[in-house]
Amino acid sequence: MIRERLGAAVLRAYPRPVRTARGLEMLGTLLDAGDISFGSFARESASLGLAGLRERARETSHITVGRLTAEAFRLAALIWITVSLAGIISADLFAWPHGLQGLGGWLLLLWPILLCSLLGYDRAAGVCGIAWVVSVQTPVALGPYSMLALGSIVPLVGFIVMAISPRRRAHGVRPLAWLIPTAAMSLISQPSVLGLGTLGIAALAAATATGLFVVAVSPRLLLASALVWASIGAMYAGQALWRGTPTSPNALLIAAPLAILAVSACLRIISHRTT
Amino acid sequence: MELRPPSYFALAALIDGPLHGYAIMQRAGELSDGQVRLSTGTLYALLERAMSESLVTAGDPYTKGGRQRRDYTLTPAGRLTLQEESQRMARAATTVSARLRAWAKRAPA
Repeated sequence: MIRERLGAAVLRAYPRPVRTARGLEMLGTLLDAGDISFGSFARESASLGLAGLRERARETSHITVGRLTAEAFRLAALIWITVSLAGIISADLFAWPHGLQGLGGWLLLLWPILLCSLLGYDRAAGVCGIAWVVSVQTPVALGPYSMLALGSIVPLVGFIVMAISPRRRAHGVRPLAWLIPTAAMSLISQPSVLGLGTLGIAALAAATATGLFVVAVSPRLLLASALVWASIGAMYAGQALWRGTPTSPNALLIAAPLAILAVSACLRIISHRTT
Repeated sequence: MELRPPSYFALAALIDGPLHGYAIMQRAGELSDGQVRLSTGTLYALLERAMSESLVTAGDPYTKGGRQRRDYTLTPAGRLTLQEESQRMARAATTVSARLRAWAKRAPA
């Protein structure tokens, strides 16, 4: 029974269509081949997991650069909302009982956008997102602190992608797992100046590291993380320009995603040459 | 079409009739005298490729011993590919063997 569960977990390395078509058969073969000893089961499982990842890589290698970029922007918008919401809620929690500023337009619009997107109502999420960015950031962009609006470019593009090219509806509640990091970050994270929170930044770093790890299979997460870093970097740079403070650390924040993108592109090329 | 040893022996395992995944792995090992050891991941990758090239067809799934199986059958195109590959390897082996024999005759004792 344990081996069956382990085998089923390993099979998750394969794309869903392959699992649906052949998952049970592959599991049966894995159990047959692993019957000799636990060592043989472990070897077979590792082989099956690697083959599954190769299958996923083959699947993403057919995606055009345009679609990959669009998906990365959509994912970046989701990450950005998650991190922003966590920052806003944590600011409220830490200010309690004196302040509930997050219950304003930010929170009331961002929650529905996140929920709509997670449940697969991409078009609604995209339209609400565009409305939110335009209503909140236009006055900023037109004001004396226009550089602060730079940070909204990435989520805006992500929302436009959602509105123009919605994904198929998600089934089940699994996509809602995104709410867990939001809630956890809100409860633990100390809000920072830009409302992102230290833990939000740590979560982004973890997402970037995971993106680097899985880049040969799919570069979406790494690209999305890089876009969010660039967005944060742009916000910091905008703030520094507004205050007239030196911008070198902020330049680093903007340069880092470019380096990540370069590494991503190189790894992608290498993986294409070896497969 | 040149076949790599794992694909060659996996297809060769199906010469005598349809087999399921694990049986193919075992038969390929026997036919190659243990030289080719197919793992589950490799087997399904090459079966997928063989099916896309119409060398093999997959039957309907069935359950035996509580585990799901599916039999794979060599198609006429698969049989032809296997025949061409075995002839190519035989020709290559004959050529090299003849050269080695000729060299052995010329070489001083």
